[in-house]
Amino acid sequence: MAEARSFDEIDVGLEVPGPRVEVTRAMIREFAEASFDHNPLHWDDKFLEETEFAGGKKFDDVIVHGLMTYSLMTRAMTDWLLPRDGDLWGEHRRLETRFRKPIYPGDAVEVRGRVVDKRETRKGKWVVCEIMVTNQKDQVVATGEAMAEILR
Amino acid sequence: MEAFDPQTFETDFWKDAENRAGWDDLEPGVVLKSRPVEITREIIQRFARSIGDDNPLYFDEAYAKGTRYGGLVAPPSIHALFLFACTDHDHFMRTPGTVNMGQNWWLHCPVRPGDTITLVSRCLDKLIRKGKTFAIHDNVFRNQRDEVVCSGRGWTMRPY
Repeated sequence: MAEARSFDEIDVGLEVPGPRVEVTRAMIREFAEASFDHNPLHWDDKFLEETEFAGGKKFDDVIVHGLMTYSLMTRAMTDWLLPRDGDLWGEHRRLETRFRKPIYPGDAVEVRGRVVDKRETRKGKWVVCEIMVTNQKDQVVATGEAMAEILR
Repeated sequence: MEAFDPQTFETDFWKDAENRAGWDDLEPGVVLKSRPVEITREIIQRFARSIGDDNPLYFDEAYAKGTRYGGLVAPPSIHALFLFACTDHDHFMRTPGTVNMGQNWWLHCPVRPGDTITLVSRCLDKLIRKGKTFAIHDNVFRNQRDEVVCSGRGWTMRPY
């Protein structure tokens, strides 16, 4: 668990844990309703059975929204920077993601972050984290890079 | 354009799908129409729950008041819901089979209950790679004080 709560305490290589989630169809439906994204990729079995995507590939099942994966990745940063004890010591400022493999109902995914760079600019203190999402088969399903502005 | 109403939001993305722009029709750089959206506490909390996030900053007014935010805020990934809320049913991102390939976002200031969010967005670029059609979509969201809340790009594979 990342206990460091100041720029000087953070070392490159520090691990920043993120959420572990067992995905269900109900969860995907809930995210569709919360995000207003009702793309049939997320609920329509018939469409998925009938549709070949680029390269003739089909999806095996409904898939998790990319922005749900993105949101779970942001939680690695917000859980770290905005702890429940109210000592809010940083801001999550940026996230860049690539969605590499579909995430299906039944998958157990884990988000993990790691500090890869830190830098003081003229006006701020910044930490860069690599964020990785893996499934129960240890396949990398999403990768990303996050930036945090450290306030102390 | 119809005003945004979470109760009557059209969830059938098949409806009138043929009227939406396909890859050929996308005009890179041309700003697309959009509508303002008031972000309520209910919208924020439903979104936070949907990503399993129970941080009291989003739920507990007294707790949030005691922090440097001075009140309830939304999770930074709240912008995930802005695109569909701020656009009409004919927006090309609703086309069934649109696959999200990647996103990058700069998160400037927190969203709070009662904020009215506006969007300036366009297809910024479009390309064909390995026989597949893609669009790069850029978005800037502002609040009622004209402060940029967040800005970013999405990269989608287009079904047609």
